[in-house]
Amino acid sequence: MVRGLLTIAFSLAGLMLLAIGGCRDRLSPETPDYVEYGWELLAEQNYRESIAQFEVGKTEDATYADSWNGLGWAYAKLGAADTSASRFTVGAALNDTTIVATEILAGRSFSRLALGDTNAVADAKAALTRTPAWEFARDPSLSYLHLYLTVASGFYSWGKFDSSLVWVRKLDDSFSVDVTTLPGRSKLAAKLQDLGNEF
Amino acid sequence: MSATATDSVWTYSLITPAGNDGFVTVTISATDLAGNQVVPISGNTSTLKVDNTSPILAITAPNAASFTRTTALSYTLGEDLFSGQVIWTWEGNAGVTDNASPHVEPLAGTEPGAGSHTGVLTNAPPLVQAAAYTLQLIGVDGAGNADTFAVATVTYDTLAPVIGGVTVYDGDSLLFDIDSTQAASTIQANFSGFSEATSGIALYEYALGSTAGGTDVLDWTANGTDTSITASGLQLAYKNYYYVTVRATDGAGNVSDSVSSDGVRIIARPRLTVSVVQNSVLVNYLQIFVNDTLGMADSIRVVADSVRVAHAIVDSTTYVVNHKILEAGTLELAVTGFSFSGDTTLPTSVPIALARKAQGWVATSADQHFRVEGQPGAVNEDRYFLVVDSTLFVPSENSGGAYRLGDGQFLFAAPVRVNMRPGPAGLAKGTAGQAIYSLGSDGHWKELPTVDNEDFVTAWASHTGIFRLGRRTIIVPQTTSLHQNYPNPFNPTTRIVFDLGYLDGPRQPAAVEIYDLLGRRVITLFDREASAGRYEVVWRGTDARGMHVASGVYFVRLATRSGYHVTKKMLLVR
Repeated sequence: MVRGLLTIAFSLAGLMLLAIGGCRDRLSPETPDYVEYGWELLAEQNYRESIAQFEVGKTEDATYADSWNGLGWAYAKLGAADTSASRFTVGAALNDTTIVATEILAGRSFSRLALGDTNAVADAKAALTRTPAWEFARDPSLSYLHLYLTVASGFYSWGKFDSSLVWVRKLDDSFSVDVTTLPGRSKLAAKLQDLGNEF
Repeated sequence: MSATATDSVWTYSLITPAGNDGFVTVTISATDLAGNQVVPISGNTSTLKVDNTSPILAITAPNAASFTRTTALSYTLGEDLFSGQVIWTWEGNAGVTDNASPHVEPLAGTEPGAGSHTGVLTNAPPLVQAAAYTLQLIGVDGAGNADTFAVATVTYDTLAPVIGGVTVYDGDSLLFDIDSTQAASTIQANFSGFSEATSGIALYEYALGSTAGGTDVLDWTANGTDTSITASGLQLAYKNYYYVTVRATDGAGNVSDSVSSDGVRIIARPRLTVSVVQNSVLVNYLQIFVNDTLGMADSIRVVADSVRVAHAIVDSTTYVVNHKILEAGTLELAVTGFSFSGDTTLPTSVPIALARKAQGWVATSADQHFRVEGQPGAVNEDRYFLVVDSTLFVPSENSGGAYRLGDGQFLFAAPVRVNMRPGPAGLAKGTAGQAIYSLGSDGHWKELPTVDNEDFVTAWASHTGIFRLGRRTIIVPQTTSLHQNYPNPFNPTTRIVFDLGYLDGPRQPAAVEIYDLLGRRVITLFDREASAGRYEVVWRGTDARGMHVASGVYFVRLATRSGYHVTKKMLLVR
């Protein structure tokens, strides 16, 4: 009787260990899992919850660039330009070689533009150099066209009106003004406004 | 023709002469008295051209100012000077010394032939200011015709008009001088005081420059003999000074020194434009570009919602403000340009809607003709939207009369109600037949089911984007209602028609249930979420188990999520 009970007890203990061991993999997601879930939340526009996931991913592996990428985008969606730019900058320093690097550069260009930082132009151009026909996989509404507009707006606020016109014409090649004249510059600004409403 | 003389020189006249430029051939032979004829004699034949017309000459009067003792003179020679000589003579008039006799000046090339020619005087007498000289050209052709001569008179004048008392006034009057003007395309000036004693003023010219005496804006321009100047079609820069410079040319072609005005400054009040660019991602950030289109402003001030905000100076006429939206509502911008010629304040309203996660929100266009209403939960995070009208759209979108909410890509968590006013406020009529259309990503307008809603028409939208009015072709019920069953009384089947109103939402859960007189639910005929529209269910007089119910009074009840519920009485007679 006792032997039978012991057999049953050991069997149960073994099954429990197996169960616990089997569950361990599922209960211990890795950094990409946290980050991917963060992106899912971001796609659902649950930005704050996505930030929490990206933060976990960052804590798990601070060298995983997509965590910083996600943080940058989530803070950008929340309108926190400073925080967004700083997160992107950490991610950019990790020298990722995948599309994440493009996404970081693109995201930082938007944040920097919001802050009035003319480095937004360099970021957007660098992103376009890496991925000329960039489309943001995490938000299909964003693409290289928005980077064109960022470059154009950045150049304008930088006083490089001729360069701004070049990039505006990438978006609308029928548009033409003489940017050496004051009315021409005013029309270019109005065109940027139009394009901003369009994109 | 014959002769008997023995002289070696004979003269004969042709009985029938040839015409001018005709030819006569003369053959000479000799017969002695013995009748011996020397035939032929070498060289005894000659052909002569007949020339009995004079040369045709014309002389071009030389420029009086540049006329010198060695002036090159131009003349034209017509026909009939295939041989001969051209002789220039010139003669000074009274008061001129050394004019006692004509000075014969043979020109180079005594057989110039027809055409335009230039000859050079080589030995003319000394010239005296203001004296008149007559130049004669005599042509002698090879046939001795020399009756024609050409005459030109020139008054020797090498002194330019005098500018001693010249005054140039900016403006349209000779009575006073203006220092500034608001006309940036026209410059006016008046002047007086040029004098010319010998040949008179033949021409005034003016130039316009950014410095006194400058011609960088407008090069020398003929003004006839008019002393009032109006130069139009210019594009002058505001704030800059411009100077009118005049000069005179006398009849001899001598050009005076130039005289400039003291300058006129182009001024105006600053003329500003404001362009607002919303960040593509950080939608609560705006780039505000301010352009001083006349370049008149010495400085600007930007006030947003009564708070002065910092601006960056891009260049002397362009400014940028990076503005973070802090609250919903209409962002009231007031941009002031300061100038010595006066200040200008440009107010600009930027309608900004804050879509709130936890409460209802409204976004309204500046003209109040476009209004979007979101319920709690329509957005997952508080979010700002710009509301702009079609004047800010690019023409290619064919969006005249349209409105844009946000960036056109945002998907709401729950549909929002879009309201557009077809006509002026207070006029309810005009909504019928109008529907709201949404611009799809394929560039085509899609009609949204639309209902009238007081002064507005209303539709539901799941995206931000561009909306406009169009013809209504989709008819949906406006409000939720339950119609009386038919037939009634009935045995055992009756039809129940009900509307799920569009104003309550594009889709909503609804239930149609039958109750007996004691309030017990007999059967549920409809219970699901459904789109707005008209529905019909049939009750066959059975309960939920399919058993026939007894004759009597029953009630049909329609209830929806929006809180609508209504009950109607039915009579089953078996």
